[in-house]
Amino acid sequence: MVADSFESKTYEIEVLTPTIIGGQDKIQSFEFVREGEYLYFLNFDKLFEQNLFKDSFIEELSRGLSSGARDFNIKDILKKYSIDFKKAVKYTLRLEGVTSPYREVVAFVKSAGRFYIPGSSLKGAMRSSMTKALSKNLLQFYESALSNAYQKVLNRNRVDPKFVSRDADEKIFGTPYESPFKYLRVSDSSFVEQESAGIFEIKVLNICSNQPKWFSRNGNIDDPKQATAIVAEGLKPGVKLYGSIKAEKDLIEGNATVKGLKEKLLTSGVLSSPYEFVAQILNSVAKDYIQKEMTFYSKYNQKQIVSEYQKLLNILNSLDKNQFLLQIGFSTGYLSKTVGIFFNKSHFEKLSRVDTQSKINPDIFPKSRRLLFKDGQVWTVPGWIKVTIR
Amino acid sequence: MDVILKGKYIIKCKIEAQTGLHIGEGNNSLEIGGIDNAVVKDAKGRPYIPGSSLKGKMRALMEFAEGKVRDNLLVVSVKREGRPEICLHMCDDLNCPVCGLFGRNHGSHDLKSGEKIDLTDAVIPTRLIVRDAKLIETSITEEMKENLDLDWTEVKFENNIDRITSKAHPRQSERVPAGAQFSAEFVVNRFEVDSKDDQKYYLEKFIKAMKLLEDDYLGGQGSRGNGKVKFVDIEIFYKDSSDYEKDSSKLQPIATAKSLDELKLS
Repeated sequence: MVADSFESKTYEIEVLTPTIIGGQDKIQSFEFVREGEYLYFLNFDKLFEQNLFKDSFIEELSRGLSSGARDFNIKDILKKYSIDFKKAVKYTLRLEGVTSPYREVVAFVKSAGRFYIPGSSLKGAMRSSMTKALSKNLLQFYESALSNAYQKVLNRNRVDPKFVSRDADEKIFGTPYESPFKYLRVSDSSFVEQESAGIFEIKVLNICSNQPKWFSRNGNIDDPKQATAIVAEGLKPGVKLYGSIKAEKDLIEGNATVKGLKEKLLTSGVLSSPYEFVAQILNSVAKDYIQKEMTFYSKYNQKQIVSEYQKLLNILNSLDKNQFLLQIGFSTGYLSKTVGIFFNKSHFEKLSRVDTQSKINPDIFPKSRRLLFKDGQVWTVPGWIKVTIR
Repeated sequence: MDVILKGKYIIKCKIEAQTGLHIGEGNNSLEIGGIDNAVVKDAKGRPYIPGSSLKGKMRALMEFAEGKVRDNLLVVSVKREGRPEICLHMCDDLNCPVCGLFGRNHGSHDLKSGEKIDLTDAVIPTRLIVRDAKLIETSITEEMKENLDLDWTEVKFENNIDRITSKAHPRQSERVPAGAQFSAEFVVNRFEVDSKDDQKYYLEKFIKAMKLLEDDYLGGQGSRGNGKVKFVDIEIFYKDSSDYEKDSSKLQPIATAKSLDELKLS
């Protein structure tokens, strides 16, 4: 092993489209106050501390919170007791063209209150994406895993949809001790300022009887303005984050106990470093995925999204060898996270029996996409980032 | 073998967590309402970095960096079903930087290659002593504390996503948040072995181990984000063995640096 193989490199993430890495929480409407184009997220400890002697305020607030009434508005109570909520704010985010009503906000993952991208999210998305470049004979393990799960269901055995691919993952990449991915190390990113984050609006495009519709609680509708919105904290396009990454030679070449990616993935050409190998694989997967999505959106006349994907394709075609595009995070959909891009109707028929919680139409699956809206108009797709390794 | 203690290098510094740090406590916690996958804590509930974690990780990195990870240089520490499960490097080379700094055990050992090795004649006192690194409480600011799930730590959620169904399987682990600092102290003994003085040889090797650790990770889940650490505010002192016979006097550092990049041993 040569000495320089111990050195890590730096990665730079540039957010290309709003990127949402969901934490576990949804922030409820009583936890923030809207004023103008901003949401102020309250620090309840401070709010109570500063107003400890206003007994009726505490009582009224507690009553409102515990009743969970939909018409409960914390802003009204704060106004009634002349409380300057800005003195008890954790952080403030700008609404980025949000026009629909909402009662909760999907929280971005944070470390001690600071926005960042976890290494686990970046590495997980890289691994998911690379799985799509598996050679055909290895992809068959996923088909077999799906068939086995389907057979179990037919035999009235219980199948947990959370663990259908586990056997295939292990047959292809080995146990965690034998996995080549242990030679890929990705740190958490640096933290970014609050100004780098904002509040974004997402709506669900749903294909019904071959026509594009928009999901609403009252059924699928034609007018996107009336559709139900998901509102989430996300990072704005243009934001940059940094961290360290290390891709060892064994990730690609393997060794006595670990089989490298070279013999598993479809590649072309001679590559001088593990980083170039990874970038080439990810870009070829991204290109295939983007082109397929462009075909989907063209078919359903979503010109704005086709044009957004064309921009991404142009960026992809102009990347250097140390750069790649990747889609990560919340609302990026079934195809982004799985090997479903290779499945056909018969696979989805089986999947619909294995995963009964999801609505799976084998003729067209997935038939919905989550899209970002701005000022009431369809805007772009979430989660695309450009990664540069130096 | 003649071994004389010439003196001690004492390295004092802070270890800064640049990403969340998870040094697991072995899941032996019986704390009611405690979270899965907790971090190791002291009697007052403050997370700390055990000297054993630091020393073990540094040794492992040095074994790779010094070219010692070979079947005929690895002794079997733990066997499972008769097969080697955990191996580490130990040898009888008196100039070995790994064994010299981190130590070797007495007696006979099985090598991974199948042969045996007896280290009885090669054993000298371990040069490196690593203290537990205590949390510097003020490094976790009030603003950070307001946003923490627990007194000193955060809970990080991760998802395993099934690659056929896309269903998420969440798991959680406790971490010390990035920005936390720990107060660390290391001692490198300087020996004269059979009239050969170590001089700064093992101190330099120890600094190499520190640099290797900065480019690696400490604790668990390091390949997916955790455990990037940096040594900061470094001070190196030297106490000659004769100093121990004097009345206490304030030692001056022989080297100081804000970070390892700036550290120069004169």
